[in-house]
Amino acid sequence: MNKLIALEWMKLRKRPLPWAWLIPMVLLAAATVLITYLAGSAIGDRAGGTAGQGAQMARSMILRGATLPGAIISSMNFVAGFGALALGVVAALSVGNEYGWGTIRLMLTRGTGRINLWVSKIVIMLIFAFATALIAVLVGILSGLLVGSFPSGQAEEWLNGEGLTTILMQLGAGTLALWSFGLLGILAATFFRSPIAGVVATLGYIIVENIFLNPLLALAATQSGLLGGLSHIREYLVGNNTGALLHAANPHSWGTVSLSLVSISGWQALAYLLVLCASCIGLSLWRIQTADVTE
Amino acid sequence: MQTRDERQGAAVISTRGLSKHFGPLKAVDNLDLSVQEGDVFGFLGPNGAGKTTTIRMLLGLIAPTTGTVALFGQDLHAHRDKLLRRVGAIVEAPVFYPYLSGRDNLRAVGLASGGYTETRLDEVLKLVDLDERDRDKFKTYSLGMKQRLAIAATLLNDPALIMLDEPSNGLDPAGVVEIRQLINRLAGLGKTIFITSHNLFEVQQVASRVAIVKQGRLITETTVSALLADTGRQAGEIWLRVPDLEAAGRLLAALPFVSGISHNVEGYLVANAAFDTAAAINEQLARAGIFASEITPHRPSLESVFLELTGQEGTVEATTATNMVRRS
Repeated sequence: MNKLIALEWMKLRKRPLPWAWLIPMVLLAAATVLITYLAGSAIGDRAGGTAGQGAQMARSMILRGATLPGAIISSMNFVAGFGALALGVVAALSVGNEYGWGTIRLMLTRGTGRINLWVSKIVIMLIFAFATALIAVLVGILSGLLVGSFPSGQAEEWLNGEGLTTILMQLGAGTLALWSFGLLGILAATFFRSPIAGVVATLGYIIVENIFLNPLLALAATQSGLLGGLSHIREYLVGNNTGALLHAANPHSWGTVSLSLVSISGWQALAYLLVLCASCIGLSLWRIQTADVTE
Repeated sequence: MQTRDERQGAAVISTRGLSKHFGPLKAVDNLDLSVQEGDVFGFLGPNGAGKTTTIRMLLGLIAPTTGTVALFGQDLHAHRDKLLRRVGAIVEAPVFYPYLSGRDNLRAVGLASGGYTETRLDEVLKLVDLDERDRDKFKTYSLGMKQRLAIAATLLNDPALIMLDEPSNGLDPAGVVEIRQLINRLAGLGKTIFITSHNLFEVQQVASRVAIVKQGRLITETTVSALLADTGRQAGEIWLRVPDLEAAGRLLAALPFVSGISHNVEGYLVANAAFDTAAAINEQLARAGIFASEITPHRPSLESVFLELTGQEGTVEATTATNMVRRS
């Protein structure tokens, strides 16, 4: 198994695509922190009276998302969204291309077990998800340090036990959130036995959830009766659960306070995502074990 | 070292009642094959005969509808991973990761096979003459180079059984000759080689045994020499250069072992008779005072036997490939 994981690691790190995602992801995550700082700084702090107090509160709240430790949360929230696309696409291609190029025949005719081959891909996606989450934390720290050198970029105390625990929780939650989308990509490509179908199915889900389904179900929540009941479906959407998990993994409310539209507890989100991951793994392994490997 | 005859006896590939159905289509139908250790086994059939489906089942890529496959005397289904470690195979076109170099692709194959050494990579790359292009990406290789890399991958774990599916497909004449020489070299090392092809001239040059399939069913399985001899007794030709074609034709047509007489465009009298009847024909002509300046017995080629057994008129690609190689 170690050799297969080494093989998958070699294939992943020599692919251009993960690196092509990495550079814009790092730049955009850093840009998110800097734009948050600029947005906060743009709110004037000279106004007096009630309006002035409100503006100062808003300014202070927004700037918390650009300075340490809040910058870590801002960076992680961005990477959890952008990285979900990357993980989904890379995972779908890592499986789908085996069918598309026919290299699955090359691997399986060498005495490599189908289950072992797929498990090694699943493990590599977990490592890739962890690396992506780690990059999010590092980008958050570096950009937070940069913002800290700017006027009004005062950092809060975070290098202590509670702070490190929060960072570890963010790392864990971010890894699980990203891995969930990687596993969706693996499942789609294994079922469709095609890279394009795998990518389209994975991206399609993410786009449908974020652009169409969430607003529609939010609208349904304002209705009563059957239509109103449909709004509970939102609790079963992957993106909402990853968001809820990341939110729960920020117990000291670092950064800009986000307004969650879905009432999912951290434990509920964790349980949902673990069941989702287990289901994706189980179905993918069942499919590769039972289906013929032809074209 | 054992000779090929001494090694023969143990079945390296054995199938019993092997069938694969795709809906109503019987791609392979009740196939019983036995490939012995040391054989260079040609698995022949026209396009769509079920050759590739069979090789996929032999490698565990697809499950048979019914029947069993045993490799090295052990059931493939029960011991798939262990058995395939002793097999090197090319199924259809050579496939590799296009963004990896030739060397990295071999490393990938080596890791999938349970391990490799850089020394062994160097050896197989040199053997297939790719040692100077090993750092180039696979997608930049010509078809011949891709085929050679596939053979290098096949040899990487020093397999006892090598399965080659249409190994000379798409190669130029020089490439075809290279592959033939390589197969002969591997056979000399005692490897068992299972080769599917519709390039019958190529198979005739390398194979010791052949099986011919048509529409998924086995038509015959025997040695190449026995197949040619059996068919040759029925389908041989004797070409004669004689001064009086008409008189010689009348005389030969009356002989019991001559089934037909014709002339060819090169001016020969052609007697349809077993190739070992040439001396008897010469004797009959001489007794009648007709002295032939040339008598040439023509053994049937594997191609003509194949076409006769499969009832084919001859596929364009098979004929073209054969002619191309003959000219080379």
